[in-house]
Amino acid sequence: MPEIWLVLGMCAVILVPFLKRTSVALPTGAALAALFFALAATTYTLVGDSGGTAVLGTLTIDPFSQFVKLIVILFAILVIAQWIITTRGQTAAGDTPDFLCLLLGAALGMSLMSSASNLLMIFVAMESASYPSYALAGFRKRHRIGTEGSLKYVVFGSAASAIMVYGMSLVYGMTGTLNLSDIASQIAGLSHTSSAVTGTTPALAAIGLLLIFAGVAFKLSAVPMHFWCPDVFQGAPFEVTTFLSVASKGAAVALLVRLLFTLGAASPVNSGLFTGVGVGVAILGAATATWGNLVALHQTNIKRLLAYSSISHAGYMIMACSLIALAPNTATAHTAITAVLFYLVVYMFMNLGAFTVGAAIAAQQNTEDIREYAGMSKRSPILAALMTVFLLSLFGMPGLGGFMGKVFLMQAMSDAGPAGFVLIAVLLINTLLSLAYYVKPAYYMYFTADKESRPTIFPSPAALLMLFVCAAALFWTGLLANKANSFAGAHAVLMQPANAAAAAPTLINGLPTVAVPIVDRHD
Amino acid sequence: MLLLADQTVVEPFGAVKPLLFYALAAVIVLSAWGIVLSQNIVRMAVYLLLTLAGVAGFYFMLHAEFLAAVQLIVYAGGTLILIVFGVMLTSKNPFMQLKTALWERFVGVLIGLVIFGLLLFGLVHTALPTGAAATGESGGGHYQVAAIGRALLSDYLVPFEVAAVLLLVVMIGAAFMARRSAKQGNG
Repeated sequence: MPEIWLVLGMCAVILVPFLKRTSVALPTGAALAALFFALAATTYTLVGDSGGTAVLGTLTIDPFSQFVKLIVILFAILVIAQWIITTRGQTAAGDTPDFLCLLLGAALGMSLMSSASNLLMIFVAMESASYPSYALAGFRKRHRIGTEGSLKYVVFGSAASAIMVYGMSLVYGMTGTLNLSDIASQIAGLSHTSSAVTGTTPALAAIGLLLIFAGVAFKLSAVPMHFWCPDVFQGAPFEVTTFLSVASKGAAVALLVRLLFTLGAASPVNSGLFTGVGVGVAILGAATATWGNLVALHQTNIKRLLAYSSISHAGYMIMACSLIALAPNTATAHTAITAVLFYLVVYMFMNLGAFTVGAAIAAQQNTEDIREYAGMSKRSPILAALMTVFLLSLFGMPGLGGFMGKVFLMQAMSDAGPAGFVLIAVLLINTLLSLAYYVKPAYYMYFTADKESRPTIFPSPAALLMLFVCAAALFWTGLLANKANSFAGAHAVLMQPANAAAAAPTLINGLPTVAVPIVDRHD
Repeated sequence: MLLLADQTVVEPFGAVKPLLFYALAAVIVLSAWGIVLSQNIVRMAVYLLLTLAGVAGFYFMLHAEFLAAVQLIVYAGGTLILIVFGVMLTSKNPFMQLKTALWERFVGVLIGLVIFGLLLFGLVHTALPTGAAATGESGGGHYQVAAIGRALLSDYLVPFEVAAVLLLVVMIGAAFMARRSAKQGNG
């Protein structure tokens, strides 16, 4: 359980200032140590287990959840490294423990999100991912945009949580259980047991599900609920933006996958409700990708540009998630989950790289405006070249990881019949659209002369090392994609909910415990 | 209302129950309108108190005594006091008027109508459970609190503990936000 290490790390980080008040090294070291232990614990279970276990009926530990946790924890380590290398000078020494503690708390919530298989657990996990993020988003207290972004985040986030918990109450009221797999089989109408609600038409339950998906859509910054994303990303310091752009969305994608997978495992093939959910998610993804790309076209702030880019990438992943519901068989669903995991890994390195270059430039030139990048190819050729690599990978240049990520997404879509081809068309059009704004920073760096004698930027050796590692990871995933993809494929295995039925928790209000026979969808 | 149509359950409130239901419903709905229409935040808080207390009354009628008590203590007690304190500590003028623009009202009404329509649709198209099962009266009684406690420390131990950690993190975040900021760089 890597979560235990994260909690211990949080305790260590907040207790360390009692030893030495203004130390930066001590809390940072403690946080990193805890994260490495958590990483080791995750890797250990990653290798050891392939089936999956339910912990007290509220958490599910399976290869999928461990893989997502690996991404989240590894990314937390990388973000702390990025913070040390580029923007630590802007954080007061006294604020360091708070920053690290909030970061660890958010990582804890996100890793729990990837395993949560119970409505109560999902809610608690999402809240513990959200609240630290709200505080982190406003970490620069004197920064007007940061404070505004943080406030917007809190208000939108609370409203989204309220909507989601209301949906959960409807689902609980209609099914009488909080356990995801029991809910799934009840909604699918497969079980007519001694439950209180036999033979009901699930209209209210469907509305409840819709509201739950709306809550997840907020975390994913999917389109009708994306307004917070650019403001928060612009206002937050670079390291927080980087962390939120990957870890928060990755955890939300994982939750979406688990929701769809569990619903699907109990549904008969071609069930109306489930197909409806799939179509809804596909439309959500297509709208998110398209809208994110369209608005990104006229952004000039690097953080806002990457924020809209992250919205559109979330859209691509949502589109792939919809295949779990639309796919004709479990093999296609597995391909889709594999593609999403692979995409998540590649996306992590692309975003980390692009934001780190942005942070390195901001640290020395004090600008986030891409028009200020003019003449960067002369002022700092290495940074300019690396930034171009990351942007081209985000676009999907062949030879880089981003391209293979999209190829695998399309491969999964092509297995899903006519609906899949519509999704492929949407993905291709969006990729072309995105080129228009990904080349913008590169254009300013290479083809605009620096007329105002802007400073030459010397990135630190550590920053260069980190950027080279990111770039190498992109080339590796781009050129030797099959190896990475089979690794992701081995972990795209979610626990079949049949195991979870045994651990169905007893109900609070004295309703009989629902023992549900679960029919797996093995085709 | 559908819940009440069924009279097979032995009702402690007896024939008064429908009357009680409509009285509470009237209080809830009218004070909810009051929250939306009022422009004074302190008045809103008082209307909110009435709404929340009315909902607590429903919980009592449904024999969810624990939930009703929690509703009264946490929402009607805690949250409202927080709101009033928040107003007192932040606003220069506690009787400040909250003005909303016309388009904001329009969007708000539209969203409200959509949600109302959705829920109405759901209610009409769903056969709600009736009878003893609907009110969860299978031997709950005064053991309810014990059952909740047992569930929290057995089946729901993990969420319970995570909630504890969450409160710790939230406290640290809030303390950070409220603290006079240390000297910061150009951030």
